[in-house]
Amino acid sequence: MSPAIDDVFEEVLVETFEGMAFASVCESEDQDWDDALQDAFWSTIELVKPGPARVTFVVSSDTAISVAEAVGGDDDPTPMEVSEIFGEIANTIGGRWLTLLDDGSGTELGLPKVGRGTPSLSGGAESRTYDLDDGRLLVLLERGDGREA
Amino acid sequence: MNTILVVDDSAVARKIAIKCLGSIGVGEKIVQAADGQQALDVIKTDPPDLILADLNMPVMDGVSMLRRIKANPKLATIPVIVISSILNDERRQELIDRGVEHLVEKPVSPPLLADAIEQIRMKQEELG
Repeated sequence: MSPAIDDVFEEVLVETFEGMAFASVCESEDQDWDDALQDAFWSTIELVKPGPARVTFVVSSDTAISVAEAVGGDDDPTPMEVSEIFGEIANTIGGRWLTLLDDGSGTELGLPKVGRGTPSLSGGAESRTYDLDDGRLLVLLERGDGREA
Repeated sequence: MNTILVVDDSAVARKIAIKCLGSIGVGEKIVQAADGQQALDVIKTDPPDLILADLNMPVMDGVSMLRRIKANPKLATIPVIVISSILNDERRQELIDRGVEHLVEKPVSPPLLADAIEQIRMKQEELG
């Protein structure tokens, strides 16, 4: 099964955010992403097999801090702690997603990467925007060969 | 279970696991390692009563670490709970074959961890 932002992905996304951050997630009616990216937090995880593909999660700084406080249980997390939490969220979603995509030929997940600002994309990414309890989440999916997913 | 070793390259994942342990009142001493090699170094000097381990880690992954632990008769009896987001049927069987006592899918929660630890305790009591 090829990775795509579909019902399987959304099931994993919802369960992971509920389980880690006690936050609800639903697809946004407004798919335009007009949030500033220069101060955003992002995390990305590579789906090596099945794949290859790369999924990136982007949130505003305020939303990132809110989610990080819920996951870590501490107020005022440092930017490094916020990034680490989003790396772990990406890692958890990527792993659970691969498990569901596995057709019996095995799975391989890369290690998460995190950053601030505009994420580096190879182009042609499929995107979807979600509403969280306290902000919005942008999900970007790229195929490994650079073609649009 | 006095000493518990938590192995995960993610500081956040270790923190979540340690919080879960705290909320269920398990573990007087918590030791951390960021990869399989660090964990082996800790285990050799201070063998824990229980290991919580991730699989997807740099330097030495969880499966390689488990292979070495279970191949050492002095360490093989230490119970291991694998906490991972990748637990398909093939991976589950591989880990069970390697002697892993329990598998918990991320995101870990106190009830999931408590259940796994209780099953390990019951098994240890059965074995005397």
